Amino acid sequence: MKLNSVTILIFTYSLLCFPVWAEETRAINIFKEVRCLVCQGQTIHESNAEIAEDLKTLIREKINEGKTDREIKGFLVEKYGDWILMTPPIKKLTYVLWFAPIIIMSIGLIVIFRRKREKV
Amino acid sequence: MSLVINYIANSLLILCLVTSIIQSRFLFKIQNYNLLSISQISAIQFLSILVSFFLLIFLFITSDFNFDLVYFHSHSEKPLIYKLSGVWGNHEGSMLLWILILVLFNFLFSLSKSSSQKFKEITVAVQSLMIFGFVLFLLLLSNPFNINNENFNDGLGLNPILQDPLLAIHPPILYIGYVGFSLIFSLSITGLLTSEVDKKWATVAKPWVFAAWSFLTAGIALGSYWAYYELGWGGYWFWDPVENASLMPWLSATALIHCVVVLQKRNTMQSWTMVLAILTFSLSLAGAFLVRSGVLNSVHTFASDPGRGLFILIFLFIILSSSFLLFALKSDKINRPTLHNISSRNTGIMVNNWLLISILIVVFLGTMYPLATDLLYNQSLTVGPQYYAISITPIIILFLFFMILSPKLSWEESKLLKIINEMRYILISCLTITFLTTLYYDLFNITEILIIFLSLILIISSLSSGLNFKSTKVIVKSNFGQSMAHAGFGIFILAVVSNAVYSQEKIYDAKVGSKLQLDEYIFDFKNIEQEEKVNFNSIKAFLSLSKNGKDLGDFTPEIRFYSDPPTITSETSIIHQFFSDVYVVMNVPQNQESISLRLHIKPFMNILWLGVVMIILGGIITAILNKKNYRENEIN
Repeated sequence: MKLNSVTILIFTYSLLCFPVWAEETRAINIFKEVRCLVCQGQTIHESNAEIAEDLKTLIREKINEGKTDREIKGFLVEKYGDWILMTPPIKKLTYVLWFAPIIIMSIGLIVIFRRKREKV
Repeated sequence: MSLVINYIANSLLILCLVTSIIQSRFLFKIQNYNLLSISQISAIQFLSILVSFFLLIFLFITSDFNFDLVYFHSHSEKPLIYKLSGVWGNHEGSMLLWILILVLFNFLFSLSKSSSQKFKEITVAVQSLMIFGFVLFLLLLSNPFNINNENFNDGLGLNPILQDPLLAIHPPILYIGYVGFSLIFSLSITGLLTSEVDKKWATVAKPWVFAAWSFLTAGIALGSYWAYYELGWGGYWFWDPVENASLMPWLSATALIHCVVVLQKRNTMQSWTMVLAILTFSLSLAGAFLVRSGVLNSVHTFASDPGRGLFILIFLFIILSSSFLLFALKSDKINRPTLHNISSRNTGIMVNNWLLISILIVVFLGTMYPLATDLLYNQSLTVGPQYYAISITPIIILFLFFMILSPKLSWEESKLLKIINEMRYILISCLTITFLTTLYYDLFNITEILIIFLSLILIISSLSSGLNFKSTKVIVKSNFGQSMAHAGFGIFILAVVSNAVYSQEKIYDAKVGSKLQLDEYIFDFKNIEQEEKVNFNSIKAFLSLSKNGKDLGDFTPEIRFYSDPPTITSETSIIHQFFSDVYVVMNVPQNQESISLRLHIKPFMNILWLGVVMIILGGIITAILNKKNYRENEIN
């Protein structure tokens, strides 16, 4: 019973807060995708360096302006280069990075199953 | 005094150099020197390095700043344990530790009775040649006993982030793993030289391979646990280049241990075993090179001296080219043609070997690609955790599937339908558990559901194959180590996925007296205090945690300001509960009014570490059980 009342309380609370939360969750999801320019391998989400805080403010503003995630990221890439994104985009430069493992894996598996079959 | 120590230490290193030359005589067919036996010379080799290592420890404890190394990396006010860990918290000292473990393995192997005299002689010779290379490197390019002519009053200190009890033992354990594979490498070279890569070879190599693998696993796990509570970034693995550098040899070593088992049982896969042995050691060396050189920037980088990097690169090149040349010449002689059946355990192990190598390729590309695009196209890229998650997930799903299937297959031939029939109870129960979990936790991601389902089957089927339940007795079977490690891996993957899905975090700008909330937890921010300690000043926050009105404990996250060298660190405060860790990190205060606090809920962390511990124990058990020649143990 006690658990139920708490759940209902939290549920109502989250319903009331939903619009604010949704925006904050979106913001955090973008923060986690953006690299902090001055720290070693940290995202701006994990960092509280001045420049990271500035970027966070910038991203929050863009969300308020009604920009989509894609537009915000595109804006950042234009300004700072691909380096700013934690996950490299799929393009000519990164084909090998994205597709080599899966191709090498498949070739190897085909070889293993073929070879065995011939021997039997 | 300092001069005397300097003189003694250098003489000891030269003594080790000389004994290594004597030991490597077997490679050049010089047999007429018989004054001392191999194990006696190995003992001298070992003792000379051990004594010089103790001398270095002595210098750090007594804070003798006439020595460059002590001056740069220690401080008189540092607690004793960190003076001690300061010995290997730098390039020169860690190199000496590396050599110490190298000679230790050589000495232990020279004492072992499992192999023939000739085989032992050549292995020790190859190992000694390597020792020669490293000691030469130490003497010429990174001598830990260099003396300065100034009279320094105090040292410059050790990076405070490295002042941690876990980090005091992390490098030695990791090094035992890395260097352990040097012995496997020497064994492989001997096997190739004598064309004796067979069941006998595998029986000799097996305990060493499993021991080295267990230490490597433990070393990586310790590093990961340290990162989890020290860095406070909310994770336990960051796909940092240095972490990757240790993961790559682990992946190939994991493939190797399975090959050695196949070689011992079935006398096949000789070439592949040799390739993996050479690859594993090369990756260990490359890992050491990456960590040591300035190529990668992280807390692990001790010094960036191009001469040192070049030496290890040349060393690596010589080892790789000569061993693969030898392999090319001899591979025809070591292989025996064997008939395989498609549905045999061989195939299963081979598939998973290849999947491990595929993961290795993902990690390798992820680590090297940004360097390559930067050098070749002058374009910077960041390869973050998401890349690894996307690329590794499909491989892991296949990997889990074959990990469940392979142990059920026989070495000869198996019928798939029969296996499925045997496993029907496990399959049905796991399907039910997964279904209920999916409903209860609103899981809709098909990949997550599939991984949870497969790892559940893996855990249950592994455990049930290692133990035999007979009315009142539980019989521990000979494959107990294997089943424990496999079940551990299942538990690990299950925890990793659930942790990724259910982790929560929130950042607050909080004032003293405020109550913060995350999920069902309430954080009561009580107080903030400033303190002065021996080697740092700190700001400490006090919070108490409660859930549904029940008090769960107190947090004391801390920011430390070290003076020698000037560094700021953030100390995470964690409350461990059975199913989830809750923790608080304080960010460096920017203003007076409020403090920025980061709250994390990390579910299943204990279970994740449990899985890792089971994997390590499984490795150790297999290493020990091998010596007892698979005697069946009974426990009531």
